[in-house]
Amino acid sequence: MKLAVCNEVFSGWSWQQVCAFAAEQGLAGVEIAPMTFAESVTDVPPARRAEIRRVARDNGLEVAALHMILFSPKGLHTNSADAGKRQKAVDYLKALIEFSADIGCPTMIYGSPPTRRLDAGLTYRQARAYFKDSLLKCLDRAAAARVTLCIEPLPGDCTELFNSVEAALGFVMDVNHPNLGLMADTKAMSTESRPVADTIRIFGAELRHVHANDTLGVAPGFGTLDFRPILQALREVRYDGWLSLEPFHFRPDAESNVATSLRYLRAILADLDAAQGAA
Amino acid sequence: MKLGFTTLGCPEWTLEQVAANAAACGFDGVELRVADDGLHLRPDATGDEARRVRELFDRAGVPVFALCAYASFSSPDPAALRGNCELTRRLIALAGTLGAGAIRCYGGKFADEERHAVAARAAAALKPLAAEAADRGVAIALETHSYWARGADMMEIVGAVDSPGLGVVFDVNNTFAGTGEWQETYRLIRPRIAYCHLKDDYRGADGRRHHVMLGAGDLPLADVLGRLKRDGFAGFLSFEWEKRWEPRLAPPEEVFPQYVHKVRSVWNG
Repeated sequence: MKLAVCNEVFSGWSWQQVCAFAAEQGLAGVEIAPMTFAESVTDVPPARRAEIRRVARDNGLEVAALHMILFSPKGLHTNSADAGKRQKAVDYLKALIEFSADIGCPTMIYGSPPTRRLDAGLTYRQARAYFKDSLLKCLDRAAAARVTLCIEPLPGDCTELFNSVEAALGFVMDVNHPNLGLMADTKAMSTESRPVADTIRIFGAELRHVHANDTLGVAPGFGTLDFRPILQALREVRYDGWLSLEPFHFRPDAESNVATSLRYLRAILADLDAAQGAA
Repeated sequence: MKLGFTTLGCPEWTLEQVAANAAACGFDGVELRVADDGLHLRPDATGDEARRVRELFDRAGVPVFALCAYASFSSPDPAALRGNCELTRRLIALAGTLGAGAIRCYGGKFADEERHAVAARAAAALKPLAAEAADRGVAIALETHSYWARGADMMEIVGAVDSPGLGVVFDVNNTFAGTGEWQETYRLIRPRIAYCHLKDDYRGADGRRHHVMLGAGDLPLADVLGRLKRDGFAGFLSFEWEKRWEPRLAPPEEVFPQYVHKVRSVWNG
């Protein structure tokens, strides 16, 4: 399991500052919100893309994933009843795939709940069909760029599409494309009917990426989630992908919360390792 | 083997959506829920209404093969038992009009009584109903469920009635999760199986059982399907997704196609 942190956590920091901090914390990667570089990635020139890749590499880091991918530009909607809006989203997803490949990032996380809400009058099935059609228009491009798009299940108060890991997995299995995968967020999983650790044990083999996020959107260890059974379950299913910290709220500041959270997670991982070694 | 689902799993779908989506997902038929809440048909539906529903499903190529109903036959209260028998007569008529071959019912719960006495009472109530059902080419089918999850217990009722008008819905997971076995129950009820319910669950760290998509839980699916296939089972395997009772379960749009794919892939080896 590799640890990463999301770059938008460090508001106002340069990419170099984020990478330096991540390296100092002993992280293996950083996850990028594209909007932190430009409103549209089409405005990020090749030289800047190369620089993003180089700075990460120079700090001994990988770019773990892109997330918050459709938070900007405004007006993107993959399952809109409006064909024009859907096409705009498809075009931008393709641009993101190119951006992702250019900065050496193999994974794109599709959470972005506002862009997958149900338009008034659409049934789930209709919206799902539009969503599927939009993704299918992008996935061959993703394959060519060696990028995998991962669906992020989110709670029902965020979006109507895919409110559980199981629902998202059903969709991923239905699309059945090697460049479409499943990821999970610990906070989102905590809203499901079953314990987070159970969800991981049942569906963990399908997970390509995991966001570590505590209740109320704080960093792991600052909310009410107990990460011991969560990390234990990830170990049990031999999850070896990214565990990426994605907190939204901090007190007093992001860097101290991230550092504390990492100590919390690493202490659990060390305990689990020790227990496994003893066994 | 044929694939179906009970409409308990798609409470937000209209009848038209049920028919269209069942066909689109590759199902062979539908187990239509009939209950007083109107999802998806009321037991007092008129003949005209039932004929329209039959036409809708037949036209979509997914006929109604069973009614998922809630009559039960264990009550010690004569009035309650009579009410269930009257309900069953309406269901028999409804099934006949819809072209459904079976009506899912329950043995029913009981408290401070000997099981044998309850079974005898249920059998006595069911005997004339089974004869009426058989006359219309329909079978009342008691589901292996809670008090009657074991084959030996179920056969106390079904064997006593001994009519083609009374069969069993083998809910494999009810039996497996409730009793720890399924093979012995299957052996006993096999000649009487009208159709099967398939669903899956697991016991969580919280001690509760949680429903989960087929193949992801504790049910030994490959063993079950392997046995049914070896025995030449040609009836319906009906997916029971309890969305009506647990709204947070994944939507049918995601799990119904997975069910079809899973069962077909395991069945075909």
